[in-house]
Amino acid sequence: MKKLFKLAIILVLLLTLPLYMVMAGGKKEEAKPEGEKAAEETGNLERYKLSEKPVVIDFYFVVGVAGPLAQVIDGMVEEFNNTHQKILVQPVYAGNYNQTMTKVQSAILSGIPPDVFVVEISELYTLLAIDGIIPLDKYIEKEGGDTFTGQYFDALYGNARAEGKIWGQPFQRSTPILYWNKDMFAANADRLKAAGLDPTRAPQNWDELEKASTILTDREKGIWGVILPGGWNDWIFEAFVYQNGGKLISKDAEKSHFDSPQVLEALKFWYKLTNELKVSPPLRPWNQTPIDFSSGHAAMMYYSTGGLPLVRKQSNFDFGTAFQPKKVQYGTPVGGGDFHISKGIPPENQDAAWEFIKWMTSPEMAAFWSRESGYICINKKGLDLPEMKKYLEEFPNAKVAAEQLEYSFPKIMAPNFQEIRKVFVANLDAMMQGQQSPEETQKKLHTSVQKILDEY
Amino acid sequence: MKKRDPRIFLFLLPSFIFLSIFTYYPIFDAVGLSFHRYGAFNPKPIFQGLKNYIDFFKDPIFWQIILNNVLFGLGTILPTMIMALIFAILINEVRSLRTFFRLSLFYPMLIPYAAAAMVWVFIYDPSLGPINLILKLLKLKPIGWLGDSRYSLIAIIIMTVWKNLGYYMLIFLAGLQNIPRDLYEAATVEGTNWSQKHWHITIPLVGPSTLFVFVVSVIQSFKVFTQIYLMTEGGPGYSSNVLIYRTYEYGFKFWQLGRASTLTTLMIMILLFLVLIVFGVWGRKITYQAA
Amino acid sequence: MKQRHIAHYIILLLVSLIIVFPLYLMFVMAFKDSKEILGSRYLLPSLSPTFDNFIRIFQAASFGIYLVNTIIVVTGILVLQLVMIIPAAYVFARFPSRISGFLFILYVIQIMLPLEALIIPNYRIMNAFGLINTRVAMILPFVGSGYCAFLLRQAFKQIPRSLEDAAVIDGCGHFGLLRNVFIPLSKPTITVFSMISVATHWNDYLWPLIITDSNIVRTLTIGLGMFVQHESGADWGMLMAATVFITLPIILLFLILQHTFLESFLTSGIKG
Repeated sequence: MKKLFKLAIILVLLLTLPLYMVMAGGKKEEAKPEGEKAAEETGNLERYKLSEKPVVIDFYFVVGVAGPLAQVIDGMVEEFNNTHQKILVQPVYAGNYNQTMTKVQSAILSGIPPDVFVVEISELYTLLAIDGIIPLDKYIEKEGGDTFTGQYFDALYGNARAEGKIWGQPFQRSTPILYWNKDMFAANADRLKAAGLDPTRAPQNWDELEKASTILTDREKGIWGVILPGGWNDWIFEAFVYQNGGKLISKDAEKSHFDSPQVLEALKFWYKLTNELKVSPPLRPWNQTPIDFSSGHAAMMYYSTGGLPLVRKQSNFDFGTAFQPKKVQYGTPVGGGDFHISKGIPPENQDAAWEFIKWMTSPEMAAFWSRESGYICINKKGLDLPEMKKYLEEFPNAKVAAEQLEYSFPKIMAPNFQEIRKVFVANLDAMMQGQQSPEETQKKLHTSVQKILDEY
Repeated sequence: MKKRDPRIFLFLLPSFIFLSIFTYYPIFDAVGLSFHRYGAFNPKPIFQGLKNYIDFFKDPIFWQIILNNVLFGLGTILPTMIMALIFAILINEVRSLRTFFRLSLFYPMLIPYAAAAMVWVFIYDPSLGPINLILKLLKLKPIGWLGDSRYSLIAIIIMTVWKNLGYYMLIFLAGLQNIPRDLYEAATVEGTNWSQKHWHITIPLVGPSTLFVFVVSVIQSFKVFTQIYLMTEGGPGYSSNVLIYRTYEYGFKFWQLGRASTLTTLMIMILLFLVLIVFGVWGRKITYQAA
Repeated sequence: MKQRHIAHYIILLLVSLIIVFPLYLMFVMAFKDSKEILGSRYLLPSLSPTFDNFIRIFQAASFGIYLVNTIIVVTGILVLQLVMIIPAAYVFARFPSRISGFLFILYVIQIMLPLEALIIPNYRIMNAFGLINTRVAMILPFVGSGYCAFLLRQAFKQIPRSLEDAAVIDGCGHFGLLRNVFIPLSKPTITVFSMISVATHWNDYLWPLIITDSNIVRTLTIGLGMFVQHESGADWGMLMAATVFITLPIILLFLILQHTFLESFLTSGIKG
């Protein structure tokens, strides 16, 4: 009997052990203010105690191009923390754009959103649909309204405006640009000239692009004329549609325009480059593309301006950047990520988040970030800073993306963009590999995109 | 202490609670949600009967994914088991270097998939990787591997075979230890050659438990995720997408938890069907054997 | 006879070389700078190896934190598995009845319903418990291991009743029996299971991927996956250094235990 009693006690203990662990974990977390706990875990406790209990905010950020940008952001945040005693920002690297969106959405839906985050600009409608963010108008008003937003390239707000309000602040913003290997062009000058091309400048329209790619492709040496990178081929393709005077979906995200002749023509041009002329590889992973270019495996590539630092560091030849070639017009979607502030968090956190955003997009920081990352210097005042002027003089390739903004369009936006993107990329992949014709691709894209749009 | 003391079930209770919460309750939860429209954009579940199921059955992508799962399962398990058996026999018959062979075949088992995926992404790299380097040396056309729909699934299969081979080899090696040596000696005296010997002795003796391992492996093959997530993201197109990766996409990228639950339910049904086979054929053995 | 063995050796050596190649590549490349790799000079060990990559991975990501988290999660799972399952396996092995037989089938079915298949409902459960983004959430779902129950029951059954009876006469209760008879005598099985459990959960990816949001709780595999996203292509040497770092502990652990492990594996007759 005694033994059984002992047994029962031990069993109860065993049984409650996991529960106890859970509770203990939970209790400990509640006992301390959330900020202190977070600070302790990230090794910022000392800092936390030194300054009079600052507001602690979590900042989820994204790295969308190849290169060590996570460290750059960590460094910027550290400087912010050192100069702002009342606020402590905890940077959390959340992966590439897809992963970051997954994490942000998961956090918002489970009721523990990050205070401030950067996600891809096409996600705005999704964020609104799940009611995850606040409009920034009242903060912008306080900073001087139009005079504040006037500092920034207006084209960059195109993906932040909805329902008559501003929901995001531009940060790591880009456009795709055409990178070209000047040495390779020079080496083939005679053949380029014979075809009526100027070997000292990049192709300016689709026709020239096609000719130059054909001439520069060298199957023996494994050199491709031009790379249309995979992974974000939806983004690059969108540019081709704008260049051709078309668009993908209506502004209110209700109607698909994938059935337009402009889209078909762009599809056919891609099909020609990859499958008929075979001057462009069927698919290269997004992050591999700059490596191919800088190791001399491609004469040209379409890539985000965010690839500049890496290409500059790794290439041992002279390269140039240029506007994407036009068809009926120059055209490109903008790209990259904006800052957003979460709903469901205390107002003082929202205020702190705004302080942080304001600082990160100030002329000095925007210029610094642009130099480190290759992204556009979003703040026009930043371009006038002496160190930025010097940088652009030394490295004029970095100017192109910002200049291209003049011909830019807001990027496609729809609720649940992830689903559209999946279909979009999958169908482009299939076409680039020659598994379906441009016509078939267009039909599939139109019906599936329209179906997704109809659901919301 | 009486044997028939019902209180002995208290010993079972703790682990059974865990089993119920994390394995059996989830099944009911998934089945229930699978009939609903529910997700980030519809926070309140709306009952819609079998619509989710019908949508999937009509969707060619769904069938491609099922096919990919089957190809992946058979494509990894069959070659793995055949090679593992052959290598186990070979190792069993040599005298020196046994530990070296066992170790070198077994170590990939220990490398986390996340790490193995990295190395293999490099091995498959079209412009830098060693495989294409060799192809170029042999004047063969380089292959796009992970970036080519025709090869992406095969590339993942090869990597998975490399990773699992050693584990199966050990299973067979353990099985071979149980075969009495005199059987082989008798066969040698009768003058049978090497392959005849193993065909007539080894395979019949190792066979039955092998079949069991096979079915369990098929079931396990449904959990392939890490290498796909890190190496191809299911692409290009849907060429290396499998059921579990699709569930992840519907659940955590598209946030349509209703449809994701439908996929979960379908997967559970497939798995339970395979479990039924296991029990139908080996049920007695599992529960009452080894008494 | 002799000749055939030479053929054996040739085949086995060839296969071993092919299988060891990725590991070799990983180690060799971890000590190279990116210029050397981009120039396709990665097949032979570098004459001037650089430790730079290893220094830089620690600057680039918190691999130290990831290592600690992984160890916490992996040992947490193993300890709880053993604590929960040993008594259960004891009941299955020694108190057969209709109910325990039925329950045992439920445990065996669990082997075949991997958690990976049930991520959606399990995510909802963790959300309801408020455990998203915690280490506990990475441990709990793996505790009720049917595989462990299956293996241990087999092992316990093989223990002769006579030893048990002797212990009972000496005044051992259930716990005494487990401590003095069952656990010591099934050490090989427990070792093998522990090794498999540690290697399996060191490897876990999908579940931690879904359940973790921030750096503080990420495990090594997740950390590596994230690291790759922004370094891939950019710096193979650094990537391989990170790969070596997350692989090395488990390989070392195995090398230390390999004799016990292999012998136990081969004698205890675990067959899947």
